[in-house]
Amino acid sequence: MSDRPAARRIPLAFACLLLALLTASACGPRTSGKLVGHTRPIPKQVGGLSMSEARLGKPDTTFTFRAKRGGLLFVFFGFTNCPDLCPTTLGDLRKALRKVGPGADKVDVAFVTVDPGRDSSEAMARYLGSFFTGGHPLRPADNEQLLAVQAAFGAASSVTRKADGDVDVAHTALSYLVDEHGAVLLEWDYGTSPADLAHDLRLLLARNAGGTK
Amino acid sequence: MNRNVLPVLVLLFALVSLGSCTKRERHPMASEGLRGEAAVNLKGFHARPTPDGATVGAIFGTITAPLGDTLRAVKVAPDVAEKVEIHRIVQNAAGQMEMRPVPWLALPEDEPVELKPGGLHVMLFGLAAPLQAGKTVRLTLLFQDGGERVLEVPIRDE
Repeated sequence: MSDRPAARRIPLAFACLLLALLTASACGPRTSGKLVGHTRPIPKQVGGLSMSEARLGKPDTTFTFRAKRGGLLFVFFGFTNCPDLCPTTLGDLRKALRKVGPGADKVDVAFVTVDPGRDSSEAMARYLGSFFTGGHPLRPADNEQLLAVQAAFGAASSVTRKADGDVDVAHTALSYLVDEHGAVLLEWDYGTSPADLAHDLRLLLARNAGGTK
Repeated sequence: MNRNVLPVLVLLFALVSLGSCTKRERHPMASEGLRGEAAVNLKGFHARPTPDGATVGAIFGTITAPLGDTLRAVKVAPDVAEKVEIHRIVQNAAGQMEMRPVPWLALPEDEPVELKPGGLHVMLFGLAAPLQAGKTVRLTLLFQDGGERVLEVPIRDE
């Protein structure tokens, strides 16, 4: 009877340790220095490009594809009549920014419509406004501008109007992170989890703050 | 003793035959009147709240048919959306993602078929009103054997 508690104590202590280790590895912020997104040996440069930014109740302004000083710019190409990929990506980014916490205000979000024929400035502003305050809803002036910007990022899309009036939109669904100089630092595949997005954002924001350029 | 068992057996046999009979009747091309509840398990069905100004929406969830079945069509009331289809996102030859309508969806025996972001979804075109979190959408699923399932799909973010 007297040795029972002692016998129970050892496994209990072990279990506690195991639990602590598991919790630390599963719940703690990832400290791995490896980015989940793709990087290129020579980053693409998009900082020389700009596009019309839609604003609700105000005239459009011009947006240049560069992050704020010390910040990051997230760019995604989509359209508002997109039921799955676009809201999934923007929703996942919103979750990721919540995870990032205080540094998240250094991340700007640009959403470029690949379907300017149907997406008005107002529609774009309202749509992006449902996900983020202070986002940049971008609408190309014409097809040439869209193609030039997409080419710089390595993105592509096509809009096909069918005989029955339906419109088919095909588009690449990668997301991009641009720095203050207009270099594309990172490309994320569609479906990258909010946790992985947050991990990469933290890592790059820390790099910016550390000035390791 | 034996005298009591026999009537029970006969009754049981009769019931079983009756059961298989109704099933056979319902099988290939059932008329509207013979529709029953389809023997499928539906899990996690939900619609995503739509962003401001969006005219399309999507419903996700998992369907399992223990005996195998085919999802033939999906329906919502006209005051929800103008048109509703099953869609699959595929990568085209140019590496771009596009949606293709799925005319019917095979449900292999006892194998969960997931409708999830980046894959399959129930596509709602021409929403009459934005899908708001906390509300529901009534969705009807029509199956091969004429059976159908009506469910109140919650609208929530996940």
